[in-house]
Amino acid sequence: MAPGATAQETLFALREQIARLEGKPVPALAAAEQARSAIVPEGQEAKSLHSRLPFGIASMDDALEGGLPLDALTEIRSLLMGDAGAASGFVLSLAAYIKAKDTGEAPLLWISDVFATQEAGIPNACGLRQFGLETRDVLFASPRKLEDALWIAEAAVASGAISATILEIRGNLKHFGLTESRRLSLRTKAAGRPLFILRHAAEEEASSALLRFLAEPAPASERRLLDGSVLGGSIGHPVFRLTLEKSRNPAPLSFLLEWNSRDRQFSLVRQTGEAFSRPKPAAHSGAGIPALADRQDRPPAMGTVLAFERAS
Amino acid sequence: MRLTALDEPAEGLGLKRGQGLAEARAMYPKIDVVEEDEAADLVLLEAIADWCDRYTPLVALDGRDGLFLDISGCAHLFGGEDALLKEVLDRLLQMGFDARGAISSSPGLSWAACRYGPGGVIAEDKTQDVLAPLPVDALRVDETTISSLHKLGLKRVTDLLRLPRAPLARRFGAYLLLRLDQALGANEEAISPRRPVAALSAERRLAEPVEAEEHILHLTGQIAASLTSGLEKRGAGGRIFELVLFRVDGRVFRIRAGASQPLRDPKRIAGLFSERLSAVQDDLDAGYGFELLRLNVLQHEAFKASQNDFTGQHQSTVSLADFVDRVSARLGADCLQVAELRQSHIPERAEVFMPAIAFWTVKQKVDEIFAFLPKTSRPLRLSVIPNPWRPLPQPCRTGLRSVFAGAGLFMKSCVPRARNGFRPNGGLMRRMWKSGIIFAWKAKLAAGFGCSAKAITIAVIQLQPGGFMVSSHERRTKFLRDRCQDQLLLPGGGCKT
Repeated sequence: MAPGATAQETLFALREQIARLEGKPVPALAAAEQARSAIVPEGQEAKSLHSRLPFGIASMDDALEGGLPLDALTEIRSLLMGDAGAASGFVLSLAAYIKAKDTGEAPLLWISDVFATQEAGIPNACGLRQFGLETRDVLFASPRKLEDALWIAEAAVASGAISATILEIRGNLKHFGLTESRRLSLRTKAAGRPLFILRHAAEEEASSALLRFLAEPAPASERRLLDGSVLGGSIGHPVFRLTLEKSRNPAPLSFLLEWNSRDRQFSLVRQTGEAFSRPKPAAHSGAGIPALADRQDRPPAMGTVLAFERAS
Repeated sequence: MRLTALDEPAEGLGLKRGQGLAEARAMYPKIDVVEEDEAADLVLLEAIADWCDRYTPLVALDGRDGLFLDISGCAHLFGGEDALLKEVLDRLLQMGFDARGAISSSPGLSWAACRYGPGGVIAEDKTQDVLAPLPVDALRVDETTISSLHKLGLKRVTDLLRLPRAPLARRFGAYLLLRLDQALGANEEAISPRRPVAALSAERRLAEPVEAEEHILHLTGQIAASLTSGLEKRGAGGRIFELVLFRVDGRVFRIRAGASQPLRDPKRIAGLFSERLSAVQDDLDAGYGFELLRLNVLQHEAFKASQNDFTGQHQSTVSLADFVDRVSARLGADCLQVAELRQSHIPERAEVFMPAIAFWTVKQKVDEIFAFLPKTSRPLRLSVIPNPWRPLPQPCRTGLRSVFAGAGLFMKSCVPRARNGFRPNGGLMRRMWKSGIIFAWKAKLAAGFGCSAKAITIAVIQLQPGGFMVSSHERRTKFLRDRCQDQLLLPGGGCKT
């Protein structure tokens, strides 16, 4: 009886360890941690239990297994440089949401590489304030090289003094591959602080991010008045069209998310017909920029292109 | 062209400074003449002055070929004045310089003694004896005074000392007597040091030179520990530190590092330099090693000793300050910035970026209360470079329409609203704004961008006839070309259609 119980114990321990490595919630593990956190009311153990920040939207929280992961890498990409506003808006709304839920004074760090700054612009303090972020709560880093940007991101996450770190880059860079993202993801896991990777004009890429969103702009709904009616022709809160591209949940998810900067709350927007009647946009000058020279290697397209033989 | 300097063989031939080049060539046709390079000489002299920092922090340049060292209170560290002078001259000789030196109670006498006299250490009571036999040139007065003194037969200082002062002053001016008094030590003379004296400094002399970075950092930590008591006595912590590394061959490296909070902890001070050293690694050539390390506190501030509270909140502010310091030390203070709001209607003037390292010490709550907050919504980002649009025939309604049509926008109607809140403020922007007329337009954009018709306010600056620059507030019309429904990039306005 006794050896069997010990073996069982070992098996459970191993299972829990695997679950922990994979970041999956295990009932036994959660129960054990709940028991532990009951004994130790404040501390590291209690923090690790709350490694997910729920959005307060049931369908979204279910899809994300409890909400936004606070101890993992989250990637947000946009298709075109023209979508930079929407993508950075979504990341900043996430950061503002974390900041609103966090009682500490830890600021937010926004690391932006040179190319992204030139194309998408520098941060505007007034706009950030209206968006729900205090000026003094945002630190901007503008390193010259990618290596420096990665170093800052790593140092920021490891220091534990930054509530959320945003690393903004353009495209799929060669020197920011799986190794680097794995390293950053391990750091975030150890520190329990979130790191967002904001990739403009990028393709899908294998990385160690737990989640990857595709952020696109969406029309704002009209302003709501106190009596519940809408003010026609007005511009309401910003809305993002998000596609969850990578998650543990196999079902693809696409939804419209509205950020209320006054209440610092997210809410889902009913998809109207108007949202999808968007015509194909004209080619933006940003889209005409040639692809980066130092991008990740990709397999070439299959087959070869051959000219037809002359008919006559 | 005249000879300004001679080497030893040339002096042996009987050539003199100030001699004409043609004359010297006539005497010795084979002499080798090199044109003088004053800038290079000055660089060399500066380098020697840097090296002399090891003896005293007060080093001043004297003309083109001299240095003043104020050694008050330093001589005993080197075994007395004689030993100090011998060491300086010996070391300079080893480096290949023919130098002469004198130590006395006044800079004037030292100058005279080492250029015209025997040099060496001059005791306080021997001042007059040393100065008297020297020629009047030793008094550091201008050429015309010297030549007129010579004409009168006053060739030595002793001749002047014997004369009554009033007639001398009347004939040659008060300057001559001032210089005489300065040489005698009767009148105080201050030298002007090259660098400000550090508030606190500590150093470590090494018998065996160090090269490795970790050794330098280890020693820095030790020196910082010896600075702690000095800082504690003042109730201060250092904000700007300077690590001075003296290389064996005389080259001096100065590395500065700033901290966002007053620092005392030796570990954190050494930590600042660990980032800094990795940043300047390429410039720091250790060569045969460093023999002297000095840590200066260039700026210090009151140290706010804070106690850890039970929740451990204090720790997070320390680690934040540490993070800011590390990044600033490694990548420069400008790399990490914090925006500050200013009172301005012009978007790019409404924010100022300042280094985070300077920001965290001053908590400007007051500014935030009075910060200007625009009524209309502002974008999250501003383009750095305005996008020029051209060509444009004239700034009329149709012209403007063509601009936006060119930008991919379709406009139904366009009503000019002159100077709608886009007024230049202060004199700073006026120059730019003066060059063009400012229009603010309430433009109505048509549907066709995936959203219903919205009204936005657009400001356009006409820079020159035929060319329009769309103001930063509206730069994101560039994005409108693609996605009008991107509400973040819209300046909003909320006008009814």
